[in-house]
Amino acid sequence: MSRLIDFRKLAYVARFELAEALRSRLVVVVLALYGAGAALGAYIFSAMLTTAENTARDALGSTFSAHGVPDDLVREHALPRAIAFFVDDAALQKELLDVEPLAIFYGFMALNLVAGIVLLTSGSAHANEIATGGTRFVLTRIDRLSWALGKLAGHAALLLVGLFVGALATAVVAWLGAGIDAASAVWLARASFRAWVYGVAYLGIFSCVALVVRSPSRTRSFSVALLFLLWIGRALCGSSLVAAQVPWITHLVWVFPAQYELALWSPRWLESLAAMGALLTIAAGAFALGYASFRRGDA
Amino acid sequence: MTVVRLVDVVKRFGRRRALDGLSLVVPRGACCAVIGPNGSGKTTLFAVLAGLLRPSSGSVELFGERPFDARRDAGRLGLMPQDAAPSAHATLEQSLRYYAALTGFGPADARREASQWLERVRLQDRARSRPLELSHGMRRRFSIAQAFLGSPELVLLDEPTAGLDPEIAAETRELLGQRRGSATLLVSSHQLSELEGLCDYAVFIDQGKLVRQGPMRELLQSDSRVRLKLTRAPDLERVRQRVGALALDWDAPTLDVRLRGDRAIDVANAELLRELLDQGVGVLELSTGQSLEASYLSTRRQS
Repeated sequence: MSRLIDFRKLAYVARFELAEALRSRLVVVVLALYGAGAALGAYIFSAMLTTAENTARDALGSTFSAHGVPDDLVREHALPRAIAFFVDDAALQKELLDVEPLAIFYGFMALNLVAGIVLLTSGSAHANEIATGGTRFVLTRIDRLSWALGKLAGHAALLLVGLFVGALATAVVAWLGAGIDAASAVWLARASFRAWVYGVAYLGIFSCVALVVRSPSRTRSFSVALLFLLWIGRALCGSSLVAAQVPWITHLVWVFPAQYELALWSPRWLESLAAMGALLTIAAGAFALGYASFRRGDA
Repeated sequence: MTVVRLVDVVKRFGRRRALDGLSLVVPRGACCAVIGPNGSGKTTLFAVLAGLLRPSSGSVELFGERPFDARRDAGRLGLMPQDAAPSAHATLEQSLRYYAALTGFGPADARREASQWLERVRLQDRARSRPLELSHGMRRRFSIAQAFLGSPELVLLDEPTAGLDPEIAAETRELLGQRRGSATLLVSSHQLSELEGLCDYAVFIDQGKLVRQGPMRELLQSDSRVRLKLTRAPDLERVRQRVGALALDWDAPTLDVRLRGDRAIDVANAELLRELLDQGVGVLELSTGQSLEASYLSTRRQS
């Protein structure tokens, strides 16, 4: 492997990329998106949950005036129903019930927004440097593979930092409200890590586009289009109507990152590890595809 | 020993051939002028040599081996591209340290190398500036500094003095002159007088093809052309008898006498000057060869 990749130089590129994000204030945007977004979202979610509890208490209070109702009526009855609506897996349902709803909310938001945020902050990183000619200063000093992987690694690190800051902001909001227990804090960290793995799959896909088209504006356009195609494609491949007509198409569902969203949450380690492995394979496969074009092409 | 060898190299962009069967050889240690009109393929040639563009066909050899490979040859080739922007947010020093680290320097050496080159191109007081805060000339000097980081064996300089003010252009030429001999330099420029003073080898390319190449002395015909500016008209008949078979031209309005042919410089020293002195005709100026511009233009006309 070290014959193919110069890991020392790869680390220089990744570090410079991360430092560039800091210097360009991109990191501020990323952290604002993750941190403020997570904090605001968590606050709104908490407020809604409290309002729902109060409404339920008021409504039931008029009927059961003697002993009132438990504060966590909604949490004990409405939440399990809501979770069961989204999650079939009984073990996962049980685990989610033990977690602070705010943490679940954060995990859900992080997983669903990470692709868009990756597109916004990191999607055209390779294309930007190629288009400005910056590659002409570096590609006489480092091979193309180490350079491309170094940039990918730098942006993966940026994503990780952003997600953990988001989790921290959520934890602070929860702590300021009803408080947060250790289990929920750990769950937040796990949710961030899982969202990161999920985001890395999209980072690989967008890097592929950037390395193939090598123009920032075209990279953004193609990546947005691809994001929709992935969404539509997965819906089509998973549709029973389509499967009835073209049975083999159901196998294609495994190439879509969204297919692993639920498995990532699984309390069974093997299942969630397999999902992470599959997502990292998608990232690696997409990157390899993009690199194959970049390796042969002009820089 | 050759540093650069291209054989029948073609580079296509769609239907257009930027390099069209280009073959050339550059000897080690040469300071080679790469001359050609706009769009002749000079920048493409440099990008192909640096491994940034893949040739469509033909063979490229660097350092007597295979084409340039950044993994194997990192630090052996420096490139000053014509239009390229370094990182917009890093300072000059941070960028140079980064490039030095990628060249193979450790952290302390990278810092020292970056600092030395900033000083050599007189940008030490702008070490903490970002590229957007610099003038065009300063950015060109930064580009020169990064090309020479680590003292590479081969340096490709694409129009190094374009857009520089006369003082900085002269300093740049001096800097390149200092590096001559310690590295093989390929310099493209439209300032032919600048290349004539700097380079000892030249290649003329046009429409992606080699038109002519060789040592500067041969291209300028330094040995076979002599021009003397005289104080008054000589007795031409006697002068012609003295120089023998060599062609002699007289330009009365400018009082110039030109001698052309094999070993013209030897004949001028041994016979022509003696005859002129015998006739009491003074010599105001003596020059040999033709200008690079004249050589280039006549080559283009012939081709």
